[in-house]
Amino acid sequence: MTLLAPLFLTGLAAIALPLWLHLRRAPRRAARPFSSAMLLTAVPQPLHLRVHWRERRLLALRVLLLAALCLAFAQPLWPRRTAGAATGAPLQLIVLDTSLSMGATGRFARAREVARRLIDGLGPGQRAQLVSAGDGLTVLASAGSAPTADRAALQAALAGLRPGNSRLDLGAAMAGLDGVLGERRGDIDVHFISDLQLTGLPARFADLLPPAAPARSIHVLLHPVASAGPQANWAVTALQRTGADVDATVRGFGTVARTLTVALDINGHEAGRSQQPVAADGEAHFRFAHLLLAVGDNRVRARLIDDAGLQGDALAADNERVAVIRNTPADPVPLLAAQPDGRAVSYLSTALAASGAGYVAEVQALQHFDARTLTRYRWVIVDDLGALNAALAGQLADYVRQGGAAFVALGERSGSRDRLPLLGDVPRGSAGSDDAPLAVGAIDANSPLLAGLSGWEAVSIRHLLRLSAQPGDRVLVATSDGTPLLLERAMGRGRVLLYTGDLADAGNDLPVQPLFVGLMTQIARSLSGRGELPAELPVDASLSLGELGAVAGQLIDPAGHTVLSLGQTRRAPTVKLMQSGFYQIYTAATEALVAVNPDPLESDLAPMSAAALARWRTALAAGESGAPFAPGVSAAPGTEPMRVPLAPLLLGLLCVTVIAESLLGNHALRKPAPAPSSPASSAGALR
Amino acid sequence: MEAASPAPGDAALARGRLLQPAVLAGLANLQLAARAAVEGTLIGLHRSPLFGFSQEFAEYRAYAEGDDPRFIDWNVYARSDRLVVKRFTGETNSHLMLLLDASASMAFGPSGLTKLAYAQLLAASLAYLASHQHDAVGVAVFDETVRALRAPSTRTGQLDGVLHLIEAARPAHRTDFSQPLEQFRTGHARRGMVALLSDFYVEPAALIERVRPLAWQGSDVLLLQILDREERSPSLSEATLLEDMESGERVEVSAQFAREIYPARLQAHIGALSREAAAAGIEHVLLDTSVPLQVPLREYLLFRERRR
Repeated sequence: MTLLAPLFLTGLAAIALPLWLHLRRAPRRAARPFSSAMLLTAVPQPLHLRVHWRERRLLALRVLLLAALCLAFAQPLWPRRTAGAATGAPLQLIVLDTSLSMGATGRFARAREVARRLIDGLGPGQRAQLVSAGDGLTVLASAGSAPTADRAALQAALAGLRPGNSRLDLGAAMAGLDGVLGERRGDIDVHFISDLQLTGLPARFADLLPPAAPARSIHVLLHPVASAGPQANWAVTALQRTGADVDATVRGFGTVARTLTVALDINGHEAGRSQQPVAADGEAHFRFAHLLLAVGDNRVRARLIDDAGLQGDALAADNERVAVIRNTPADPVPLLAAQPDGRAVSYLSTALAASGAGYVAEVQALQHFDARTLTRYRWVIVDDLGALNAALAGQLADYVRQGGAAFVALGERSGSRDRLPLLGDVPRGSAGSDDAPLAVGAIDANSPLLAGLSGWEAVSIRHLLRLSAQPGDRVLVATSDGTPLLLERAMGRGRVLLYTGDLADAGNDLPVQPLFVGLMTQIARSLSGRGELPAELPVDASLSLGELGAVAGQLIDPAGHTVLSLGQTRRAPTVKLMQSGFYQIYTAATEALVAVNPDPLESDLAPMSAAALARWRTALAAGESGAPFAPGVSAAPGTEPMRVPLAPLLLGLLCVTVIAESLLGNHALRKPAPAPSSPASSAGALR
Repeated sequence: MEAASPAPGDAALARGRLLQPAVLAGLANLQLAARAAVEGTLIGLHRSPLFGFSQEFAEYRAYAEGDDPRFIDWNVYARSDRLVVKRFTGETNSHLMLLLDASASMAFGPSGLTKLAYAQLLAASLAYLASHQHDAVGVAVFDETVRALRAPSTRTGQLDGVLHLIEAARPAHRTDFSQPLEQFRTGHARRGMVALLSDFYVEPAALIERVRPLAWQGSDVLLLQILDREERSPSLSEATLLEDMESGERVEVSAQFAREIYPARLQAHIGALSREAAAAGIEHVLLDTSVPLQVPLREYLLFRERRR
């Protein structure tokens, strides 16, 4: 018997309580008064010293009650041999690869035939379980979640299997066996039916061995179903926007040189076709120019035309690819400039336009800016904070405190201010010189605003206003002498990002560094508060609505079915994208489209080499798969005892015991007290 | 005050029923119980010369100081101007000393009547009987020591005093005849009758050794051994833990022992006591608490008759 929570057995010590109570309540054996012991002779055995329990049946029930309670909580499992186990045959676990590559010509049919033969070959009463291997291992519920000896059910489940869009990692599949087998012990034959793709091999060979478990012996039998010869496959492996054009990449795996045709559909309508040669095992880019894109998200699909050039293509599922191309006008962000035609404005405008963050600088002269329009914008840019007058600084401060954001730089006029407008900081001179420029000395790597940015070491700082960080400030970038270069300050419900240098390439060269575009992209995304949803995701990727800044929404799959309703996303806002195509996401704030495509690694149909396969088999046969089988746990090698939970039985016993104890306890309470037999009671008979 | 005599038709009934110890013990008043016992006994005796007890006139003798004025014959005084007192047939100048064992073992009585209650009834009856024979009667209640003592006397109120002491006796402590008998012997050297009421759970030889000096002093000693029927033949169905009522010693005895060995052992003990007593010229009477009181009372009368 196995106990899942053996610590609860310590509760059995509570049995001492009823024992003590009954022993305590047991009457001391009353001595009978006698005139004189002068003529008495004691019996040789002191019977009165024997323990006498009172109400033994009640005591037994109470002990049983406590024992059943403790045992129920300990969750015992009773090994029971099933009919299948009685035959001594090991459990057959049939794992069928259902990844995308299994859709290649003939592979899945061969795999199904192998599985069918395995099912037919089951002995009388021998149990088996059917598992599909895609992104993970999934037990087919149609054949029952537990192993079954019902061949018809297994065959029916097998008939319903189809290759999917997932990618199979062989290492992950082996590791997943532990989760499928759970607590099963004994001898288990795992029939792994797969094309054993070369691209499915894990980085470490040891990952191909199933996990070891005590008292369990897994015998993995590999059934490769890939064709003996090479299979050619062309696939659209990429689809992306390049400027105003759209590029589709087609690659051949095990192919000969062919001329292929790719059609491009935009929003369900074919926008054009492109034809060009693809070298043997080569790659070609099909460019589509002068496309008419609709405003907003465009559903773009590139597909290989099934013509003579595509003859011999073994896998059709990867012959098309989808992408979402956004054609959204950029949102304006006011760029308040002391000199609208200055270099700082040029650098900022250019960087924003190139960033792809979806914002375009709306240059406005400081003296003409109507501060009442601030509320229209998510964030603002000020190229020289020192140029702000007091009124505008006050209005800008109110805007930030109410939840707005501002990216401000300290230009030429900031150096002449004793106290900076908006922030109130007092510059303490300048840092750096033309002769000895400063470099970036420290970067806050934990800040998401700086994540992924590189090239800081190339920035040269010749002049910088020296400011001190205030309590609560977060210095994101500092120079080599510790002077803050970029700091973040919270103001009310909003925040200000302060660049202590100028953006006119006068005191530092950050605006002309490639880094600047990336930085402005991050700043725009961060200060605007907009989440960024990737336009493309692989099949089986998880999508979190939190990436859209939403906690709830609705998700519709490529077939038009609602995958998650609003209520469901509130409980589980992350969903796995199982199909290829376009997923639509609706949240309270936005509506988004995500393109989901199969992993291009699945398009390479080449199986692992014969040498690798032989090595894998050798490793499995050598018993590297786990702990040796422990006889005694099961009755005989090759049998797998079922573990039957006893907790329900114990709880039933508990209920019966409680009722019986109540009845017997009441009966005991009704018993009259034994009449005392003491001669002293008659001593005063005369009185 | 004399009690009304029972009607003749009720005499037999009264004798048969009222003399049962259990019935007598139910009477609230010990004197009443004693009188019922004595009169019930005497009614059955009629005028048998054997027992020699009557209130018939025997002779006159000159009044001496200290004589009870109630017995002055005023008719003779009127005729002869001499004070004479009447002497009756049964009257002697003997005295009776009752030694009542009130040790804890005397509280034994699972049948309802304890040995002490029986002894109290018997002692009271003897006192009543002796008082009506004009014998001086006294009592000593003892266990390890003399707990209460009233010297023999014929004075008015003596009977009440004796009965009070007898009634007040409560079972306690252990039995030890040494000190009480020695105290009695040295303090009351006058010859007379001594009735010792006890269960006598002592070595017979040792007991007789203590009692013998009384006999040597000229007293006639009567050992009234009172036992309970359950005590003589314990009815145990299983091994039972028995506790000595005096010492507290606990002994677990088997049913077989109680059924077969113990009665024989007790009988041997009684026989030894009887033999030792006879050898010392001491009367020994064995009683159990179910025996009607007329039996020991007759034994007493016979005992008294023999010493005359």
